[in-house]
Amino acid sequence: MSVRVLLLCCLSLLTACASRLLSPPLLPFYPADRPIEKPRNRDPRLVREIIDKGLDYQLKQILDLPRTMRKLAGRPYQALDVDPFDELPNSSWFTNRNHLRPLSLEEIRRGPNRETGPDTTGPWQVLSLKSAGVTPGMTIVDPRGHRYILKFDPPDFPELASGAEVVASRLFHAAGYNVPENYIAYLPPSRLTIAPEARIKITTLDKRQPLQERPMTREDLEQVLRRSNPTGKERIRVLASRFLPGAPVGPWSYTGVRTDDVNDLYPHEHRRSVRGLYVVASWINHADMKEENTLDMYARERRLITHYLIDFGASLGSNSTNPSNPRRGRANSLDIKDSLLRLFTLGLYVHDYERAPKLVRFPSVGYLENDLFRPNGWKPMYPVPAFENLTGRDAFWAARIVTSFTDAQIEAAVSAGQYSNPDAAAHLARFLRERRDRIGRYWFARVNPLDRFEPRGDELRFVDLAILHGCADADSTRYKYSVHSPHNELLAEGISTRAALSLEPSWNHFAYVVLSLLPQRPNLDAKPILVYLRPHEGGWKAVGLRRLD
Amino acid sequence: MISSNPHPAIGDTLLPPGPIRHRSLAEETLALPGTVLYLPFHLIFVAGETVASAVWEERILDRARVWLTTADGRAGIRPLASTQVGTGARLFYKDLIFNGDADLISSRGQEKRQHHLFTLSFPGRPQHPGPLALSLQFRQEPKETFFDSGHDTPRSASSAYLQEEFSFKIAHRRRLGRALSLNALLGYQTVDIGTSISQLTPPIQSRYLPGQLPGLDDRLHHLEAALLLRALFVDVPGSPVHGNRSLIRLGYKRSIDDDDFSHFQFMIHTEQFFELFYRRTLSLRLGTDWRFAPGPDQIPFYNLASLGGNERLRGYRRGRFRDQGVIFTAATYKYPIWKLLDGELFYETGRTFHQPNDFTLEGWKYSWGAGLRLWVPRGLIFEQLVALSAEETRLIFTFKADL
Repeated sequence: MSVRVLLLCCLSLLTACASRLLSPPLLPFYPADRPIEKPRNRDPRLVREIIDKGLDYQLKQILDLPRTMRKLAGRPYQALDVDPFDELPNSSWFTNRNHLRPLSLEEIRRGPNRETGPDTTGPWQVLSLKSAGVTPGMTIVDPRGHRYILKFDPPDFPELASGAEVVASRLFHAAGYNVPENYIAYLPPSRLTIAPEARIKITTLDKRQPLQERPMTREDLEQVLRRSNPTGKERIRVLASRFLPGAPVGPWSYTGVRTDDVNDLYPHEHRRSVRGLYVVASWINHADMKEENTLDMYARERRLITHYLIDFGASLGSNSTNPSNPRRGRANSLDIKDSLLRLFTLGLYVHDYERAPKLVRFPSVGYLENDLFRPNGWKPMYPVPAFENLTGRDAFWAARIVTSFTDAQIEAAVSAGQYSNPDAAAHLARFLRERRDRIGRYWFARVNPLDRFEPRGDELRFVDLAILHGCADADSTRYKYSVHSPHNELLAEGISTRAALSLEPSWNHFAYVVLSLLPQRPNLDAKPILVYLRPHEGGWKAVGLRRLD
Repeated sequence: MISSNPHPAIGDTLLPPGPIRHRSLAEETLALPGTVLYLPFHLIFVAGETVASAVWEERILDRARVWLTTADGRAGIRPLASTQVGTGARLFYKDLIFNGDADLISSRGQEKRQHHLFTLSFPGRPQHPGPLALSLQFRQEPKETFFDSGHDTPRSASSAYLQEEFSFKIAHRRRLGRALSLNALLGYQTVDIGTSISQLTPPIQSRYLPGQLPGLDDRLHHLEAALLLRALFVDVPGSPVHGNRSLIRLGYKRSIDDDDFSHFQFMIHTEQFFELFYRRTLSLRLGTDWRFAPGPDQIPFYNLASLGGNERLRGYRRGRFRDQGVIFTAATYKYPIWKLLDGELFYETGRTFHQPNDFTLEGWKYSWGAGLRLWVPRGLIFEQLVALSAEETRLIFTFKADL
């Protein structure tokens, strides 16, 4: 009796699943444009983030039974903020750019920049200095009244951090993320003047002494310049990062929502733009993904928040003050798994990044090697919960963005870095091309790579991204398809040799039909895509799509 | 360039009352037991976060350092702790007199163990070739153990005593190079042996008759002269991978009131580090310590060389296996677990000898163990070792906050 009940339950579950697949996805759309009051400032601490995300959150996830069961069953929680086509609508987080309409080389080179950099027709007034920290810098205001943060390259590695910051910001922008306007500028120290209101804060660990402030002097400025320009060059190359529009309200979190923003509806670890950032960041080797390197800006006029990625000085081959190293991208800063492995094997297990030689061919672009790069094994310096929720669909979405960059576009982004050595720039472009191709080859072999479904006349055309980007061979590819009515009645099935399917006119008496498509070729481990087509004005219209990966 | 949304919404929907849930109520319910199980761990992690944040972000240790120092930076106090000396503090006062810095290290351990060392050191100035240090030391060890002398003394032969030691030393330090230094010292020392407070071990006075054990009956006064040569040729002092560190000591203690207890000391310790592969390091340590009494003189029992203790065979307690000479060797394998955290495995072996020509390869004692060490380039911060021997298992803990 109980077996019968169990079987009936399973059957009804299967029927429910099947019937769910037979109807197009209906996902609500919430316009995130309700004006809000300025939220409070978030001030996360890095050490808390490391322990919280590296230990606490990991344990929480392990003990989360439904999540673990879903992972084991291959049905992880999918991103919440997608539309019926499994796409991401434009939002304050992300804007569909290069993968949708290829940007011109000039657009790539320009990125988010609206100017040509700080105005050089007059003096730059220094508002504050940053002498502590990883890299020295200062805040200036140019004759137009625009504020910039100036960051200097490490003296031993000219162009390293500034080049990485500019190139990475161009690529992130073209990929669809919000980034600051970053410029390479050349600064004659004589252009700097001290703003009348500029003050120096004398901080002390001794709370017995009151916080002291005094007017900034030329000597304070010279000290910072001497650190960043010890050889006394007449023009110092700097990175000028323009202040973001609006009021900063602190970094955004990789988990949960901002409770004081009613438009922030989707937990960030379940946002596709944040999950998919894993693939894009792995391409750019932007491992320094602490929350401090994100920023929410509140626009006072629109009364809305825009979510930014900032500070890319430690990306590509740079580690801000020196070249990157083989460990970066292969292990978290505090990597419990790696540490335990070494502890219990008594150090006999040697990680690949420990073996790898640190070869820096060009100091200006730093350490750029792809030998250790694994598209699914890349690790940021700090654990990012959203990345741990990455599903095949998220990865496909992001891999499609990464592979949308052509060689010429990559070179255009690299040219924005204004590297003085063309060989170094070519080396960086080659690194990005290789990594892009590896990302495409990896993810397009694990997720159904069919995309851009377009009913045209009596045909449904689509694009096989693996073939488009040279990751698979068109001659050895076949497309297995089947067509079902809304009542699960098989209308047609077969194998197509080209990326198109004929649509029978006789099917148009159904409200819609469901097409299942699966490429067949060696080394492809993917699940079908369901495309929902509705008769429309004598032809067909796609009304939804389900990726079953 | 901002493109328009290629996939327009099906239709606008009223905003939901709160964040969108990523799973159903049923799944939330199923997750409840896990959440309950996780809660105590969460509280531990939150506590850990708070402590780590206080140390790292709020720089509470640095603040404590500032708080424990006077505003002009001249005087201050620092904590210290180890299983060797107990817990205590270092009190310093810079430029106390004639440019001299004063330093008082004071610690107390269990059962009235106490160490106090006051040092007055004069930094090198153009007219002086090197620093000069004057030190006064008082050491009280209420539960020292003597196991008789010889290499095979049974553990049951142990007896306890109280040792009180007071010394005054003048030391002159000269740098012979970047990694070499020579110390010359002259001093006075007096030692008194009393009755131990130990309840478990019989007092030494009950085991030995008067006159049977050199140094037991009298308060001894010595004048001491010694030369110390130190070499530190290592890449990272906190966790060496390559190089060598060595120490040679030549000393002479002369009895003031009775010539019977004058003796020489010769000690050499050397440790060589070899990188096996990728910062996995093998270090080989070799050491010997000999005490010779000229003519009819005798060596006080507490001044005999000892094999046990935290510097030699760590699986044996301090004072175990005493004789005129000891030879010991150790192999330590050190491997990185995290950036500044190393794992360590060690094997040590050694033997006591009465005379150099007694040397034999038989009867060597050995101990082994493992541990974790947290370090910074300048030195070790924290070490926790487990050392085992045929006799006991010892936990050795060291913490140095003042690097």
